[in-house]
Amino acid sequence: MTAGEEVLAVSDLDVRYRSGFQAVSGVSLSLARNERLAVIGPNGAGKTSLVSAICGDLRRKASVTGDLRIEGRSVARRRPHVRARMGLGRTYQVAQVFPGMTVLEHLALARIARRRGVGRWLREVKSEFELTDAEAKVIDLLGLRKVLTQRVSQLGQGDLKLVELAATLCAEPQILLLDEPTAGMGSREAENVCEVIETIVALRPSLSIILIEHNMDVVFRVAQRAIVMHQGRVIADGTPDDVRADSEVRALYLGYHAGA
Amino acid sequence: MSRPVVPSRWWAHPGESLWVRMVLIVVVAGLYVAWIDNVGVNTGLGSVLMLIIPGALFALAMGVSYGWCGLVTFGQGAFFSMGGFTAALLREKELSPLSVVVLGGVVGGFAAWVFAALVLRRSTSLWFAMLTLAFGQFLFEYGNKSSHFGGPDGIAGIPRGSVFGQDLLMQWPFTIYSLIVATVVMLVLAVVYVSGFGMVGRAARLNSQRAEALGLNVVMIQVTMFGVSGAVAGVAGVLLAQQQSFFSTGYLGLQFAGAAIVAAMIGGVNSYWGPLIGFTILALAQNQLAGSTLGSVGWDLVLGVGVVIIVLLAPDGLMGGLDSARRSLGRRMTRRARVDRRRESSEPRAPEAVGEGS
Repeated sequence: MTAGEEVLAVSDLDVRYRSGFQAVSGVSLSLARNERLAVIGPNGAGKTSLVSAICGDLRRKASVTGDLRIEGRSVARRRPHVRARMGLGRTYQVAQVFPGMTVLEHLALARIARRRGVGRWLREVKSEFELTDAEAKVIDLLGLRKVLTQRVSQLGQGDLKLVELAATLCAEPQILLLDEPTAGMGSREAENVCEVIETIVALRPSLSIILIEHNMDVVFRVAQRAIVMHQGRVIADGTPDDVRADSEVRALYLGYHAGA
Repeated sequence: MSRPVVPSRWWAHPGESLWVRMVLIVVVAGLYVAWIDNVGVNTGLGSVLMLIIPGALFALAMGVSYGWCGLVTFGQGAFFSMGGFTAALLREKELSPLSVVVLGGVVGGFAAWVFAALVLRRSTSLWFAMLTLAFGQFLFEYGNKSSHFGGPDGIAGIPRGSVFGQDLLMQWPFTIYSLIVATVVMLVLAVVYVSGFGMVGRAARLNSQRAEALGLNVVMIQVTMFGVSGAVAGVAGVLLAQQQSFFSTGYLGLQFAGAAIVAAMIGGVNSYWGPLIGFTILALAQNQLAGSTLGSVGWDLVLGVGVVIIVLLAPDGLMGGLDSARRSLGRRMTRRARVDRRRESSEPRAPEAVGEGS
């Protein structure tokens, strides 16, 4: 485990949906700078709810209680865009993009999100259709250069996930929340995602990552620490190997995957 | 340091350039003058062409609200009427018509901004649409009951005044005056459309959750854009009031707003030109049909069938359909230009590979 400055602290987080379903109960966790934390657990364990609550995406769907701090500042009552500007960036299980916009326009939006001041609203967007070096690196890393001027509605689901990740990265987050980046991918593509994550880490040394993942190969390769969620609670927390050794976890979840 | 990745070829994305757009606006305004001149200002068709100016601006206000930031609205007639009644209530003040236009725009824009700011703080887009409907209907009933707004009979005797020594009572100077006002509004909107502000507004329509998660203040953008929409509607209201020397609460009703929504849909509510083109087509078609045996009963039938055809064949309206055609053409031309350039230079492959070729 890396000892470092704490960038994200969640304490006693409860998420209760309007339907009455309690998705997350009493979860506390802390994330250090440059730490890569995997969140694993069976379907319906509350992993995505946890990430959405951290980002503030559940405002109208669920009641969220508990404290949430980004770099020491409490954000529990902040709107999603404020949290994003404080350094949170996320991707979704099913890629969330702006249909009908080109890949470049996604990057332009990320650039507007990244900047401060009134000028970013007034500047003509077309004059922005040049990549900064950092953006060019992201684009080359994700292999999106060929599709830059294509509309995302022409791209496949796998490419959409890359476009979403590119936009998120170009907004320059401090904390990256990846919700099942390999969902629906084959083992080779999953391998590719691992490489991408490792390169991103090399590119942005200060980046912290929370990774929701079902594919245990990816978890063991990428994460330094893993927490296991079950029925809205954290039942294990430690290095991936510790977690794998935990008998309760084995019984619950890992047996199906790691046993093979 | 940065490097361009998109070749600046006008055919690849003509609309996105501010200068191209501005030149186009002025050219269109000039062509419109020529058209009216050709038809004659005092003929029946001439007066239809005159009415198209405020009507098309109003349809554009609908487009700005829905297409440019994703707020469905049925209450834009309220802000249109605020402009119109600004002109009506100030009819005895002997103000310059231009200052009334500015005032009407400010009143409509401010009211829309306040409305959106109050509603969007807590509610979702669906509730917003419902509340615009309720707001419009409330003002409609209030306007009819209150003695200040002339009730259903309306207020007559709104002056046109004179600008730069030109008496606007004459049809021709007034036509030029309306077109200049409309052109200025269009130029301002062109700046809005191509700016980062306009782009984030479109992102808010396409996927507001994602836009927020990226760090974009969607609510602020929507509130501001709705204010812009209200201002455009207000200016349109003033123009119509001045043109007809008359304004009534009838414009607060649903029928008027509905016609503008249909026009915007037919032309393409998400595009810059769509609402203008849609309204022009509708007004001309209605004028044509009015003289035919179909008459006014047939009009609703034709309109209904037209809307169904548009929704089925080109869900993004005429401009949406044209835009897809333009993009595929642009891709083809870009590819050909790249092949040509590769042939000229010995360069094996362009570094900025664009489009789906290669």
